[in-house]
Amino acid sequence: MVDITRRQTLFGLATGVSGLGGYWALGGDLAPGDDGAPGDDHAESDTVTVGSPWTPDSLDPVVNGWLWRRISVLEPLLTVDYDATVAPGLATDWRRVDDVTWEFDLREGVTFHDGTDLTANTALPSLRRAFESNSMASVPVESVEAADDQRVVIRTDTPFSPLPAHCTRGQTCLISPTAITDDGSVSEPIGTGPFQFERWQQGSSITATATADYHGSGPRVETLVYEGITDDQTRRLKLESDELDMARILPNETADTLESRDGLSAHTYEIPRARYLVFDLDSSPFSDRRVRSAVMHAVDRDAIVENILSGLGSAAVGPFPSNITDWAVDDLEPYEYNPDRARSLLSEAGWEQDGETRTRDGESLSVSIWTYNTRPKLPTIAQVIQRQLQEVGFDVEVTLMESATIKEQAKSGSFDAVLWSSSVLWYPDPDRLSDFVHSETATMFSGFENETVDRLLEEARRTSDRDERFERYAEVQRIVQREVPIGWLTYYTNVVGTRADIDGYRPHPTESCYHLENITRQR
Amino acid sequence: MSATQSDPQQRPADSRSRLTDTIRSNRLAQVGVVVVLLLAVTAVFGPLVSPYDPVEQNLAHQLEPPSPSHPLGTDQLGRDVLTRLLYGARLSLGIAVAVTGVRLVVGTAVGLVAGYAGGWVDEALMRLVDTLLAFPGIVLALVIAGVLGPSLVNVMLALAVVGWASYARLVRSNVLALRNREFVTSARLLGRSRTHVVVRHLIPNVVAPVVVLATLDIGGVILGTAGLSFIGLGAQPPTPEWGTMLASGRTYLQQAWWLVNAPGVCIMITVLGFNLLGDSLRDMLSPTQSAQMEQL
Repeated sequence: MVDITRRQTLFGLATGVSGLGGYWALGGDLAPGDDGAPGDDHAESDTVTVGSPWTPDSLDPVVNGWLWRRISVLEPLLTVDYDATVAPGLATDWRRVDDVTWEFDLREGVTFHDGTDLTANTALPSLRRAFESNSMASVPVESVEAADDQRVVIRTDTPFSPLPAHCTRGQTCLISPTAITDDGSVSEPIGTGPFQFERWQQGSSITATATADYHGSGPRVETLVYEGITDDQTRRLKLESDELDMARILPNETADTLESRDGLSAHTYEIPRARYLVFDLDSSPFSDRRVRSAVMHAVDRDAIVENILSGLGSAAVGPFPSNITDWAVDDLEPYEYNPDRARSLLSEAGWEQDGETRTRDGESLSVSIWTYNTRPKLPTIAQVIQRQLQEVGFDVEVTLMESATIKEQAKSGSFDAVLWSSSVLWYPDPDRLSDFVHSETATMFSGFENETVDRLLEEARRTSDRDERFERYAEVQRIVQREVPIGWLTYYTNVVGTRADIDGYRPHPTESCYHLENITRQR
Repeated sequence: MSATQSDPQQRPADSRSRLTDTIRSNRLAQVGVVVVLLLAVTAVFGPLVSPYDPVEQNLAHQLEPPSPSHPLGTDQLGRDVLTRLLYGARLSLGIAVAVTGVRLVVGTAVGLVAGYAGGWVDEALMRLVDTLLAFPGIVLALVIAGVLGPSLVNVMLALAVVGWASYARLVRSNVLALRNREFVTSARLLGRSRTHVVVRHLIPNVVAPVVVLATLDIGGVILGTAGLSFIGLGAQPPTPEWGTMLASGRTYLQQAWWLVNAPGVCIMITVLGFNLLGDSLRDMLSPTQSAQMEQL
């Protein structure tokens, strides 16, 4: 019995530590591209295999629609254009009839993969499902009706300008009414996209084939295989060993190595995603605005971009990167790197230098930064911040936790600061700012409460005029910049590696869709 | 088994000579001893001779390959890898010794009580031990460390909690064999207290197998600490811990092989060293005890 325990411990850990290579290989072999196996009609060159970190967990668009939308199996009512604006999708046109009523004209001549025609009536079941789901609870939709054969009318409880942007989300992807079973669940993702669902292995891979009579252009390959591979090194290795044609979200530092290898190329592009510090405004020391500003002056964001992010991306000023979206404000005052300014702000706030760490009334300036390691660069950035804050008199502890644990603990209890990363525009509307700084609806946990910000956000939600909305969101961004409940650090650059024979791939900034219907293989 | 051997007074000298004999005749044992001694020296004096600070960042010198000034290169924050390994050795060995110590003390105590008291006490304690042994140790440690939250102290706690059962079982079986031996019976008949019997007659006779188990165990604990730190439950940045270094260097596998290989090789050599030493210690025990120790 003793024997078993010791050997098992050793063995288990050996697999954990030194046998990682084996583990990766194993993980990969579970979801191989069996699809080129004998008996498959398609020539190998007609199959494109894509690997990204997200595993396919559900066939239901309400749960996993964003993934089915990315690989062009399902299509939503509206799409996101390359300039991060709302563009036609299955609805060719849309208009606001009055404050709370919106009309969408459905595209003519579209059929679902099972042959059902797309009409207002066949669109209603999935739209209603979507707007009734919990994940879209923040969208105040009151009713979804058919006005005529090709026209859908959506009414909201309150005037809600961001509605079209929410109609680009994965949940609103249209599926054939035959795919919805009697109990309301989804049996198969029967959509309208250029690829149609063939089979999947829950949690690992999806196989889709070209739709013969797709209503748009493409697709140009016969078969699309999607693999969810959590580990970025595994994705890279599989790309290099020809098991993947496209590996998404690779570490920044691999961009150069990929380019230098024959047969591979790298695409780098900025996405509307930010890394930022969320401060706890309800507890010392970050309840004091001067201490928060001091942090922002003490952190050298350019050095982080240059040294940690391999020079890819840029230091953030506000929440939105200006070269991606017009909602960015260009007159925001950036927090320049200035440790002396940080020191004087801290002294002003009563934190006096006393040895290595500053103190105030016997309390030392000790803070804990929580972050998580599923986004690979965050722990390293946290250590740089730790070092730079020590320079101005903070005592910083970095704690790595599960992201879910951080959310839970930061929402329920007090914390100091969280280093987080998220999309700032996953639906293309600046109403996303409400998730960060609205006192009641914010999903971020800073505890920021500002009446003006709340009022501006609510007004901008109601107003339909774009310029008027922009003014309000701009003002919100300026106030947030001054008050720093959230300190924006850097934007995000994605690295996608492809085999060099993949043509026609154009990265989409919001990644709402990979647009794989446009790619071809040269072989 | 001769009478002299079970005489506690005579054992030490006896085993000392056998230890030296074994080590002289067994090359692997020599390797084990050398590795462990080297590690101990490194852990104690290494950090004193290194010119660098293990946590001081130097972004101008990040990811430098091995060179005379940085024999094992620098990491993604420009820290000297060798220095971090040296401090890491101190940490790893310290933790391993501490955790193994706790396991040993708790396990031995439980084993002595169970074996000597017998009856329902024995029954209750041994069922607890069975339960612990039935669980895969590392899974249980994962759960405990996960629940307590990520920190090195919690990892030590978790590893200590899951590991003591083997000691209890080993000590108990030895005590069961010893309790009816003449020298114990006579001590009892002479009216010696229980404490006296346990301390003077039982403990000296179970020390040897327990020490062997502990030596073999140290390697496991080092691996356990590194493993749990690797997945983020243990040492927090910027602590120079081997498992953490391995984990953070992993993304640079292609550009900077030294980031992964250096701590990886360190872990391997250390664990190997302790296992070789443990094996040779086991061989040094008498044939009967040696057979018993084969189970370890």
